[in-house]
Amino acid sequence: MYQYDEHDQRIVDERAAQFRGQVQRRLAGEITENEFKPLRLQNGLYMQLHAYMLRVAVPYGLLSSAQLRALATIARDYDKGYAHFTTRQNVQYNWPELEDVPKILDLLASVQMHAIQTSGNCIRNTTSDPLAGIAADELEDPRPYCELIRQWSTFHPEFAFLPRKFKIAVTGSRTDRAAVRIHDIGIRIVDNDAGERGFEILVGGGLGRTPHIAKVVRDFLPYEHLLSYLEAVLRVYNRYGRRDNKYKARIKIQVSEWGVEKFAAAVEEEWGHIKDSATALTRAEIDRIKGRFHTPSFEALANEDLDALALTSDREFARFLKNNLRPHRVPGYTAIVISTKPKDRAPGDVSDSQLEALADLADRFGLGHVVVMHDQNVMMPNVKQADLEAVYTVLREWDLHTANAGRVTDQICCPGLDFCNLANARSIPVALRIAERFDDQDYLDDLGDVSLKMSGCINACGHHHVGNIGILGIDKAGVEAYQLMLGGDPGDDASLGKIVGRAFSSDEIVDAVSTVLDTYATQRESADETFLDFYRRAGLDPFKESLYGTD
Amino acid sequence: MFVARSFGSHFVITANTTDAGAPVYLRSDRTWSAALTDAHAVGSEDERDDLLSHAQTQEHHVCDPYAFKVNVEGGAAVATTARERIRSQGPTSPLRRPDAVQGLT
Repeated sequence: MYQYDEHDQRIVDERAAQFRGQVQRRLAGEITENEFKPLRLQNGLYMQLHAYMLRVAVPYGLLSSAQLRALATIARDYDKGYAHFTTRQNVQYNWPELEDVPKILDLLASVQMHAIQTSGNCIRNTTSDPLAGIAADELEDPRPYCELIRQWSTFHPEFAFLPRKFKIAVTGSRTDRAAVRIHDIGIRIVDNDAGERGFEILVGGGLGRTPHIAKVVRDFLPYEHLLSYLEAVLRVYNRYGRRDNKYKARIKIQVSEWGVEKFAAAVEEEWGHIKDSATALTRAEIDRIKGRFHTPSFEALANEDLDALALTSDREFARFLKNNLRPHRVPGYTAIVISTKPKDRAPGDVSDSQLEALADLADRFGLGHVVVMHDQNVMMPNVKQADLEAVYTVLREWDLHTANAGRVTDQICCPGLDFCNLANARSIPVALRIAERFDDQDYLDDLGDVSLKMSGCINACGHHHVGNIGILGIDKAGVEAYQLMLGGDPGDDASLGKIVGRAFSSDEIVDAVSTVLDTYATQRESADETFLDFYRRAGLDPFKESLYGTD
Repeated sequence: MFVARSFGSHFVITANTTDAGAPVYLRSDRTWSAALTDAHAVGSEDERDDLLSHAQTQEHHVCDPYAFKVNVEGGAAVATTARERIRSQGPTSPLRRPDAVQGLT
C-alpha cells in the first residue's frame, strides 16, 4: 500500500474542507446548480435518476483493510447498506444525501482516500493489473508509476478542463490484465534490446459510441521521460482535441482522424520542448515513491499440493480451487478472485457487512489488503496456499465464495437504467436472469472461460465492446431492447465485438445468450477450443444461423 | 427550456431535489411532490413553458428541472417511457432497495 506523506494528506483534507463550504453554500441557496455542478463533479458527485451518486477513487484498485472498513461505514451510515465496484477499479455509492457528502469525504480522507477527479473532463483514476506486484510474468511492479501519474495528474492546472474525460492504465507484465488497449493512454513496462527499462506508449483506445483499439505511438520511452511524455500527449490533445462535438471529443477520435503517424509526430515535437524539464524523473524519485509503498514480507514456503487438496475437499471448494485461484510468484502463496457475482446479487455489489468481512479476512489471511478488479470482482493477492480452506470457509459464510471466476456468469454489468441518468435500458435485471438461467456450475465449467459484458447504454461502462459476448441496452421507441455482439476481448490480442443481427427484446435476450452458448458448445472442435477461439475461427455465421435462422 | 425525449398527450415538470437528488414533480399549486400521480399535467407548450420557468426559479430546492410527456389516465399522469416509469417508481432491482416495486419487467 502507498502511504500518504504530509502533502498527500493535506491535499485530501483541504479538498474535503473546500467541498464542505461549497455544499453549505449550495444548500443555503447562495450558489446556483449551474455554479455548483462543476464543483461537485470534480469531487465525483453525480446526479442520477433517484439520488446523487458518489464515485470514490481507488488508485490502481488497491484497498487496505482500514479503507475497506471506512467504505463499509459509508455504506451503512450514509447509504443503503451496499457499495458498488466499477470497471475502473473505483467504488460507487448510489444514495448519499448532499449534506452528508462532506462527512463522507472527511471519513475517506482519514483513511487516505478521496473522490477527486473521478468525474469531469480531467485525468481520471489510473488503473492497473490486479496481479501487480505478484505476477510471475511481471517485469516491474507498475503501481509506483501509477502513483506517480496520480500525483502528476491531480489538480494539474493545464488539464483541469480537457475536451473530455481521460483514462490511463498501466501494466508491468507481458500479459496485459489492465486492458491498456482500450484506454486513452495505455502504458506497458518493457525492456528494449539493450536491456534498458522503459515504456511502450499506446494512445487512442476507448469504447463508447466509437470504440477504438489504442495504437502504439512510441515503442520505447526511457523511464525518466514518463511524465514529460504524458504531458506532451495531453498537451496535443488539449490543444487540438475537438471541443465542438461532445461525441467526438475523446483522444481516440483525434488519433483516428489524424492518423497515428501525424499524432506521434505532434507529440514528439511538443515533447522536445519539455522533455528535460522539471517533470523528468530520476531513479531517486522513483525509489522515493517506491519507498512509500509498504511491501509485504513473504515467508519462505513450499507450494502446497492443491490438486490433492481439491480431491479431498467438497465439490464446491474443489471448484473454487480450480476457477478462482491465480498464480503468485512467491512459492506457497496464491491470489484468489473473490466473486461479487453470486446468482442473486447485482454484479459488483457488496454489502457493508461483506466489506467488513473482507477487511477482517485481509488482516487475517491477506497481508492487509485487497485489489478491486476491473471486472468488478475483488482480488486478495497474497494468501498462503495453506490457508485456503480457512479463507474459503469465511468466504462461504459471507456469500463471497462463488466459484465462477472467468465463467459466463462472471458478468461485467453497469448499473443501467435502474439508476443511471445516461442509460437507455436496464442491465441489472438482465444480469440476474442470466445468472439464474445458467446456475449450473458443471455447464459453466464445461463452457470454460467466456466473458459476458453488459452496458445499459452506448457509453459502455460495462465494456460490452470487449466481451466475448457483449450486450448493449438500447431504446427502441421507448421500449428496452438489447443488441448482442460477439468476439470482443481487451487483452493482448484485443478485438472489438461485432453485432450479430437485430436486437432482442427483454424477453428474448436471455434465450439468445443461451443459444449463443449452445452454438459454441455443440460446434467447437474440442473442449479445449475456447469460445473466443471458436468465434475467431468460425465467425458470426454459426451464431446468426442459430439465432435468426435463414432470415 | 429542456423537454426530454418522450411521447404522450400532456406535459409534466420534474426535477431532482437539491438535498437528496430524489425525483419530484410539480403540482398545480406549484409545490413539489414525490409522486408522479400528483403532477400537474398540461396540454399546451405555453403552459408547459410557464411551469418550467417557474421551476427554474426553485433552484434552492430542486436541480435541473425539465418537462416530459405523459398520458393522463383517470386524471393522473402516467409515464410513457421506461426511464420515467423507473424514475417515478424506483429501481426495479429488488436487491438494491428494501422497498422494491415488483412488476416492472
